[in-house]
Amino acid sequence: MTLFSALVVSVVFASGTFLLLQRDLLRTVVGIVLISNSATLFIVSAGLTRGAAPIYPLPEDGGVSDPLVQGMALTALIIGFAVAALLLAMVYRLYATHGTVDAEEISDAEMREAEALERADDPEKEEVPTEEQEPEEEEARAR
Amino acid sequence: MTGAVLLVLPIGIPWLLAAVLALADGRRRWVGLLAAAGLGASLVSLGFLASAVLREGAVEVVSGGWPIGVGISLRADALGVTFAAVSVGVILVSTLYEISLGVRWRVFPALVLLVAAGLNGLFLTGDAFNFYVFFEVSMTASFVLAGYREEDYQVRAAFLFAVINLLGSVVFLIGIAALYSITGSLDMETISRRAEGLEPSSVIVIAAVIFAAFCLKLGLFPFHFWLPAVYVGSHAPVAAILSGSLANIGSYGILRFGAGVLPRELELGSVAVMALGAASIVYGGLQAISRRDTSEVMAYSAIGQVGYILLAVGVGAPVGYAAAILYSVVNSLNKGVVFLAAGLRGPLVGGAFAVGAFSIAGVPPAAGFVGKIAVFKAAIAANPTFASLALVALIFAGSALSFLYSFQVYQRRFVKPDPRAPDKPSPRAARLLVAALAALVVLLGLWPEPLVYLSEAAAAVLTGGSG
Amino acid sequence: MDVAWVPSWEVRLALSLDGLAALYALLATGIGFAVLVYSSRYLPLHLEHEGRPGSDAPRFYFFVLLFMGSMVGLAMAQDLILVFVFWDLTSIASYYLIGYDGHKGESRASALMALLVTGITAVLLLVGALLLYAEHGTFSVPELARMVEPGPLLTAAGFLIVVAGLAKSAQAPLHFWLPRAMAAPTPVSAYLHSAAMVAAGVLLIGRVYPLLQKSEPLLDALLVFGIASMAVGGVLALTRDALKQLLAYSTIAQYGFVVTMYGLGGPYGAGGAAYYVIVHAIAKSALFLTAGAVTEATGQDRLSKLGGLRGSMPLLAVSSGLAAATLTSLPLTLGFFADEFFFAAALERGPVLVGLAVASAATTLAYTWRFWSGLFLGEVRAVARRIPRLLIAPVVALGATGLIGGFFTGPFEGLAEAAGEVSLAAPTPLDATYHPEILPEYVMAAGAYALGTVFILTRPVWTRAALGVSKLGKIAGPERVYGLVVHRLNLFSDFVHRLEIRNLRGRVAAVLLPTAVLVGASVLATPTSGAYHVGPLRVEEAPLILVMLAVAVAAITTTFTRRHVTLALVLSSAGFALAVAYAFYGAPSVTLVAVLVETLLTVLLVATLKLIPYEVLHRQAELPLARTRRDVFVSVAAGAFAFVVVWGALSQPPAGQTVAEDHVRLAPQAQAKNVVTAILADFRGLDTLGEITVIALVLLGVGTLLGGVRPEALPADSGPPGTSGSTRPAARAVTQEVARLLYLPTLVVAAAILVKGFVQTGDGFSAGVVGALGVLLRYLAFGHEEAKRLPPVRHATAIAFSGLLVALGVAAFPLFAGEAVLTHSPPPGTEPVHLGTLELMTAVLFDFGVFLLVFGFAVGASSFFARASEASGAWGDGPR
Repeated sequence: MTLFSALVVSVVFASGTFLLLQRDLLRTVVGIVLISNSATLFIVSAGLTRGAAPIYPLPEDGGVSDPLVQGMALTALIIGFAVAALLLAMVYRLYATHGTVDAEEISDAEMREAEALERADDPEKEEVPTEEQEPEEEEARAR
Repeated sequence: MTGAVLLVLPIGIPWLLAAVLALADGRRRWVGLLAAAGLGASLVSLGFLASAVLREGAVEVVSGGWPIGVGISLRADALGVTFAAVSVGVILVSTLYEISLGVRWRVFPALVLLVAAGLNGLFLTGDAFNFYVFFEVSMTASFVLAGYREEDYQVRAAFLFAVINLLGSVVFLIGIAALYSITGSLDMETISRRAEGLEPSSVIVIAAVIFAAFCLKLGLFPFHFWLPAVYVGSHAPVAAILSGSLANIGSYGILRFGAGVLPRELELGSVAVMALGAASIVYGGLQAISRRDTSEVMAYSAIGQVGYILLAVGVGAPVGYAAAILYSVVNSLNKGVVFLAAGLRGPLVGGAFAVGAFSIAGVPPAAGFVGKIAVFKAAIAANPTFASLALVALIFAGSALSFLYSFQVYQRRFVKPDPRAPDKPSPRAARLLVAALAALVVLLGLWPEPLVYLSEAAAAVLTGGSG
Repeated sequence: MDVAWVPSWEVRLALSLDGLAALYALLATGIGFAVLVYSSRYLPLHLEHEGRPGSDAPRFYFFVLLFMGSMVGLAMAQDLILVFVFWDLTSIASYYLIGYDGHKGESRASALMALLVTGITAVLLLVGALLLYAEHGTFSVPELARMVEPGPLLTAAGFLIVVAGLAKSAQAPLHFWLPRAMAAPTPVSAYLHSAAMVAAGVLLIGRVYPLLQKSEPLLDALLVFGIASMAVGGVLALTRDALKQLLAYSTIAQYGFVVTMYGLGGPYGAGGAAYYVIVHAIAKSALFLTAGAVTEATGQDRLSKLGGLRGSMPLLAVSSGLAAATLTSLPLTLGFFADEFFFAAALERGPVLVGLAVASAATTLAYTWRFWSGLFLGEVRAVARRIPRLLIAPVVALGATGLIGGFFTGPFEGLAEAAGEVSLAAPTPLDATYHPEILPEYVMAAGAYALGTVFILTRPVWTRAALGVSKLGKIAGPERVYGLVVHRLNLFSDFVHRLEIRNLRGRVAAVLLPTAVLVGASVLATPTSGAYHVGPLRVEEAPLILVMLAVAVAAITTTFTRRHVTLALVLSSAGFALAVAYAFYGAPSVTLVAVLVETLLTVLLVATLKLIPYEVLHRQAELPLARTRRDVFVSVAAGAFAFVVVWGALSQPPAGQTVAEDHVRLAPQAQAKNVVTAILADFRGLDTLGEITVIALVLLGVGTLLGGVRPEALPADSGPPGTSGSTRPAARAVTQEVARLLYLPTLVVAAAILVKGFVQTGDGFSAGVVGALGVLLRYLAFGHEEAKRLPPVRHATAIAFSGLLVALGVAAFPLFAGEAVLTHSPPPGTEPVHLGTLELMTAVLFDFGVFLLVFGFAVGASSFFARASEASGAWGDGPR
């Protein structure tokens, strides 16, 4: 079970990261949701005891499942959901301003702006002193 | 006031105030000023807390009055208080700065208050999972803040910032859950005690992912690729908050979780830590040299500067940790000054930026030289001798690069007459604020003892706590 | 004065006016005074000439005074860190003074060069000081002088300090910044050369000389650099045309003399060096001020354009002649003895040094003559205007000092002896009197005069050679190296910048791969035997295993699903499968929330899909799924590190007691039947507070990003017609009726979940979501137009934040009772008051706050999306 849980968690995590690497921003959000889910699954499966739900009256025979990981999982789950909602709003906003949900096209916009900035001036040369153009005395007198 | 109340105030004041002000229109001046007053109150209470901590040692409260571990323990020690005070200070100045320029968002005051509340929370908690929660509070607030002013590139930067940092958060969360899974506790001190008894092989992997998450936050090479776009895109006070306050999560986290909770694993990985720090110093410095935009230079500079912190952490021992803390504090202030100054025009601004630049380059009397001394001290103390030599040489090379990039951009932006520049200077209040922050940097350079003392006290917390 | 400054580091504010300090402090203030007097006339002319406002003047005086103050401080500092501070202060002052004409590119470049050379080498001084501190535990120079022993450490630390000193004193090969620094206004040049900045370098050497002289290699190094500087400076001074350039190279040579004397050592070395500094300061500042006065009078700053000014400026000619004579050590001037001491020191080291000394002195004579004669003798090349008398007076005073000093050497001798004694840590008796007999020094002096005269007379013979040296320097000299390094660094920086990853996908990969490498490295670094366990797969866990398999399959399916709607469905099926898995894990509370969250998320995802025109999405869906090898590799690496961490953690259950057991045990005391609820509302209520704050933040963020205006601010009839419920097809009527019917009941169910939370599964979060579902249903049925009139929709944000306030209030209230934050009442063990089935306790109130917030969030966020969709409909299909 240990190995199996670890495998499932990492498969979900890897799938999420694969989606993060796609150009489609919506897939990026889905990827974030998936990796959050993998973390939640890991938290729950990291429970140190397994058994019935930790609700009183407690079962007399066996133990209850670890309540602390459940608390943590709930918190993580909700935080993950909330930020996913925020990301969705951002994606929409990006679409509204860029007219696309393609990460590459949006990166291109960033690159264009950056290059415009780089082209704007070529400053470093002037901070290096120019070659000394001063004529030597003899030459100066000769002229 | 008892320690228990003092401990809650820095977190509670901005938090409550944020909940109230979220409904008010933050573009009104009084709302902003109220938020600033809340931040100021938080800072003052941190001051009292600091003096209590330095006098009587760590202050601890367990929420709900439960036993340690059952409830969440809030624990203020010199380390946490130091980081909290600096971070809130930078946020306070940035907020006042934005008020003087005119706030554009209704929610801006609430957001900065929540960034502060979250940061104070994570600096003052003694519970690993609670750290994650506060971390998410401040991060979520900053995700929104990064889009402040809603220019195209700002929304873009905010999205990038959010996605990359969420990835980091999840990685960190996995690390925290794993810590619980192997120790059965979320209380940092308990984790530390129990982890000591475990085989290093099972702990070090967890330490590695937690470390990676903090490197990401810190913007360390090669985890930094998100950082320039975000810092450059953000509006000046937001950039100052991101680099001067939020980045502290990374250095604090590495110190707290590395040196405080998992010192053995940190020592095992010290070579990797130092290698990353070294790479960051060189890479950030090189990138910064020829960047055109002032903020972009300083963004890459930030990447280089955090490298020193890592070097010092890698050296370890009180001298290394003290150096890392001192450098983080000074670096926060520097970044606050330069990013804020980069957003303004007019008299005083150039001077303030110059103070920041001198501080980054480590030229007295700006406080940066104190940090540089501390880092050099740590490097000289490193073992073996050739490592020490290499570190000293590296720090020297790094500071040479910082001289070059800081002053190239300073001259280009502030000395060279710019025919395209609008003549209208920025509001005087904003300029005075930046000048005041710069004056603080100079003051700390002229009288560095408080900083040095605080950093050594904070380092003692780490080394004392881990035996 | 000696007080603690940074006691933690044993850094002391140690200032003492010893002999060395007295000498340099006098120079800094004395010459400084002359320079200030001169500037009071010069600066207005300069500013006028540059077309700058008079308001720029205070800046100048500020930095000159800072310069002066930091020189005095540097002279008196006895602590190496303090020395470093004052040292860099002089660099800052000189940086601003050299770059005073910031509108000129040349000026900026020169200032930067001076700062880089002196600032970066100053770091070496710091490193040297710290090396000594690491060994001896003090920064105090006198204490160090007592402690240090010759050895590699002293040599290394001393060498670093010496390099800093040499760079500041513009010694070869770090001399190149000084001629450039002539971009500064002339009074600054005068000050910089004679009594500040450049003098600071030899001051430092004099200060740490007690340490340096214990190491032979260091003294030899001083000798080598000093002689090299004498040669380079001397030869190049013979070639320069610009007045200030000539003087700059002469300064390099003259400080070469001083450094050489320190290298020679002994009483005449150390004491003589101090004496030489005095002489040079007086003479050189006079010559600079002369150059400034001449330029001001004629508008020319080159020897080739000047000449014959003796007629029009006689007083200046005589005064600067005296200064020149002092500089060249002619008898009857103060300078005479400077060379005598130099020769005396050289005599102790054999014929080679004697020869070099004579040659150097002769060169000095040659270029000083060239300067003075070029200005005042020969044919008249430029017309001199009248200039303010205050531009000449300082030169007169300084020239007179040089002459008078030749007769009354006492005070100068005394100063130098006191300074030398500090450096040498032994008395340095100097004998500055004329002797009737022929001393070897006199012979050397005579030789130098003779040789100098020969140099002057044979000028055409060697000019070519000297120019050749100058050309060589320009092609391969250190300045060229500096320029190349700076230039190449800029180019290289551009090059690495092009390698920066600047797209989202690359940036994501750049996080995952290094993490994987770190994890991999840490696996390799430690023995792994016994760290991982496979764990048995038991038959009774078959349902869980099957569900987990479903999760994995659904997750993998997302990677090749093309259509967005399908993707949303696959994602939610993964989520629901996870929820089921949680149930099998014995976590019904998590299951409940997971189901609700998944539902809400699906709604929001679909809402977003609806917001974006089909074509845009379609284009994405049609893209070949970039299953490039890189993506697969990165995600497999990411999966691998996650796998290692997760497997490792799951394989090592803790040996000791876990805190969860305490939670189970203590839950009844928290008045809760459901342990998870007790954790959320009580034990770890702080986490819940943070969590709901994140939700509140997201609500703020969504609201801001999706319009920036809150719903209630929107006029009720602003929506375009056609989206309101009234025009929908009649088939909707049933749905609408159902929605209306269900609206209140959902709120009741929500209330039930909230109240029962402490007893059974359920909590404020679930209650909030369920309550919001009722509102969402109205949305689906009626559309935004109708739904936005509902009170919960209009006040969603207010509801959410009042919820946050309630929760925060519950958390903070116990503080007033002197209890820990989040202490609930009634206290553990007491029976709460019942109001029907409702238990009156603060934990329930806390949960109520959570409920309000989540409800407000779910309603608010949905309405923001709905309004955006309405607005985008109004805009048409295209982007704004």
